[in-house]
Amino acid sequence: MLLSQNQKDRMMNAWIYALLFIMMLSMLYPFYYVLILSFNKGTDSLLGGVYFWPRTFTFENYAQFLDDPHWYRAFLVTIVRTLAGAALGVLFTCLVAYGLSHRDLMFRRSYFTIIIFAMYFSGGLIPYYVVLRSVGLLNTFGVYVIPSMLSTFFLLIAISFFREIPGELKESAHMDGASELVIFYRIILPVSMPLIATMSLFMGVGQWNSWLDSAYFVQSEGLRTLAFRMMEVINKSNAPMDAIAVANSASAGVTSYSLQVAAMVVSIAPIVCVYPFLQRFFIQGIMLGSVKG
Amino acid sequence: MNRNKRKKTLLLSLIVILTVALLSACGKNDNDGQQESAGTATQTGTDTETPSKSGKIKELSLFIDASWYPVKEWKGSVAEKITEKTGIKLNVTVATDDKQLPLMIASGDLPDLVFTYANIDRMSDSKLSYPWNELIEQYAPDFKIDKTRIAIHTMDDGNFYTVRNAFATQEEMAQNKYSVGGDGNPGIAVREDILKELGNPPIDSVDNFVKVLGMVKEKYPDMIPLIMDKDWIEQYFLQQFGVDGLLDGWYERDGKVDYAIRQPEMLEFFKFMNRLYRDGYILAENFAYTNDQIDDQYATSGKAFAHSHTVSIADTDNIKVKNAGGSFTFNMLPSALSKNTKAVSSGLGFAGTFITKNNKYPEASIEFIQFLASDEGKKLTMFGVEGEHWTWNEEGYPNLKYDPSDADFVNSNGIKWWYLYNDGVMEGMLGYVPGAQKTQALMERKAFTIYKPELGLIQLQPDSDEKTVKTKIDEMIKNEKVKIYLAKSEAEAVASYESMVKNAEKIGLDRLVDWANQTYQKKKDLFKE
Repeated sequence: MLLSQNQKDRMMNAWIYALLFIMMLSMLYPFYYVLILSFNKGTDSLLGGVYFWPRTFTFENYAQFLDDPHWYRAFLVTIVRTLAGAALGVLFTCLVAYGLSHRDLMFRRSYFTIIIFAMYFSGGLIPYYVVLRSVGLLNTFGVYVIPSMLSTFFLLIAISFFREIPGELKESAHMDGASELVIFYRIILPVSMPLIATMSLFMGVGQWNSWLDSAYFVQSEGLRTLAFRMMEVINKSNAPMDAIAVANSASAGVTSYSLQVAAMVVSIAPIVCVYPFLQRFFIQGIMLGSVKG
Repeated sequence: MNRNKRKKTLLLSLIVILTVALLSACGKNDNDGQQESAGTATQTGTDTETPSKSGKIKELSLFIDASWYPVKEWKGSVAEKITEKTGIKLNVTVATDDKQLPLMIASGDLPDLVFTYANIDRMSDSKLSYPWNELIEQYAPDFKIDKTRIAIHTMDDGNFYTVRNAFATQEEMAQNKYSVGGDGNPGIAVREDILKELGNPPIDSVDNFVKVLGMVKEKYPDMIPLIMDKDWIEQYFLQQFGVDGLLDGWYERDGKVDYAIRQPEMLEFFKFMNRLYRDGYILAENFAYTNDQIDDQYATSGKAFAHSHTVSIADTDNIKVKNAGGSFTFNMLPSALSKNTKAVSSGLGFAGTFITKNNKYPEASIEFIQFLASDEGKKLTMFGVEGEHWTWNEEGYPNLKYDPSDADFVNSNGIKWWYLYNDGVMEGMLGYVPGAQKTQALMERKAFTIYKPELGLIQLQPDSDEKTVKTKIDEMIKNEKVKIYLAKSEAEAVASYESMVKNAEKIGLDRLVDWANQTYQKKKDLFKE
């Protein structure tokens, strides 16, 4: 139901909608551009001028991309790491946050100091690598999941979220004889769905896009992720002249760039499909811990 | 109800755990982790003629510091043959990016062998690698390496830690007629049909070439007379004007070294390039291309007359045109268009193998390199298995039974890419394909190539003041040269050239040249008997 508005309000609304529409276009068009390039012949795309629909329609880019069995394996690894990484990350971060949300926790200040310090200062890549090596995580699937189980940023959000849950809930459960763990799983988690959905989304997307761990901490071909394979495609186009000459297949209409855009489309498609279902949690989640109510 | 829920949760958890465990297991089984398998000897059931003293296959981990490397596994007939001959099997890891090796060096997590071109100086360190000279003396006294290669690779501590592949001396190249070099040399291809329509005017000098471009522009106004690959703009013409090296290198006259841009011939080259632009024979946007396939597209779609790239460009373009159903063909211009044409090769080779201090079998490793350095090893690596992939022609080159530009065949058999030790002579023979235009262009080029590896030894240490100055100068040249090319008149081009040289001197060119001369004199002595 629209309320009656005066001229100024309408003008203002028109402006707002126009600006929002331009913003929407500027965000959606790059996706659309990548999509049409992925269906256009690679060598033709190089001449430019492809803006709204493919000029020379082809499935060649996808055919070459899907021809490589490495991609399927990478897809599987990426799906499993995303599911496992997001689930374990959410669970573990919430568990730690629940403990820290108790105001009467011993050494609470020390814990917070450590967490805040770790949030702002990192040792850098080399110490991190040495730590991973010493705990035996290098070249295992665990390196994708275990180090990212605790997110300091979400830890702080979750702590403030749990503190807003009325104490009476916990107290009554206590009286009924429930332990802290039971309270956490049966009472706290079910009422924290917006938080969990937001964390799942962020952690899932982070896991899906992560390539650095696959590049530096894993050597097994069978453990490579989708994002890493994308990097490989990009790297291959950087081969020096002499190597290109040998690796030059003179017949293909596929270029390294058209292969990249096809890989991009395939790799963002699942996240794009999942996102609309999580969007309302995402919007709620942005406000988490900011407003009491 | 509740019980059911609990059961389902338990089941789901189990499935997730099992999947994770399964994937972890796969990772472990892949058997190329530097942790688990680096250098662990495994027994294989095969009892073929293994020359290794123990009679067992030894596994060594190899890190290839090149993210673009097309071969990622030790498999294919070449790898199998090398294992059979040496008793060494390699577990290969290819770098993801250029930061990975520095990370491994910093964390002390090096594999048994490292193959690199970008970190030769860094790896040539007794803390990281075994000196080859010590290993040779101790384990392989009959492994002989020539003085020039030793001179090139000897570090300040008197040791050498590797020998780069793809290097050949002037004498070696002269003795091997069929070693013509690789594809990384400049060349220009022109449309044969259009040349015919113009009455086949001679292209035997730079001026005549420019004349032909003018005729093309007049008769075919929609056509671009000359299109250039973004990485192959200057090289061909620099050679024609007798310029030593490229814009960012050193040249030597009468025992003195100076920076390339100050060569007397350089100004003539710049004037020529500017004239090409002012007469409308090249596109201004050609200097701004960031993609190296735009020029190919122009040439193969019939929109350009001449195409500047490498010596194989006519062959490659012709295949592409044929595949696209086109009917025109390209021909290579002669490699030398004037009596001044000159190419100075100051290359020291491409990449080298290091035997790291973490290596479990230094003795087996140096013997492995020794085999690769033998005539048999070099041929096996470069051409494939004798009889199966090639037969030796008495003339002195291999008759290949495959097309060396068939990347799928070459890569799947591991031909060429295991050149952990090889040389420019052998690698140069892979370029010899009788009848190919590329071969002809390379043979012509060989005739005017002069080798000066001493110049290649003027190498700047990372993080040194000289390196900073040179980087600044090169960056400045990169921007200023385009101004010269695109100047509106010859006078403006000359003024821009002079201002570029002045700018370089302001940045500290004279200081850099003094340092280069000192280094050059010192390094030159290494080559003396």
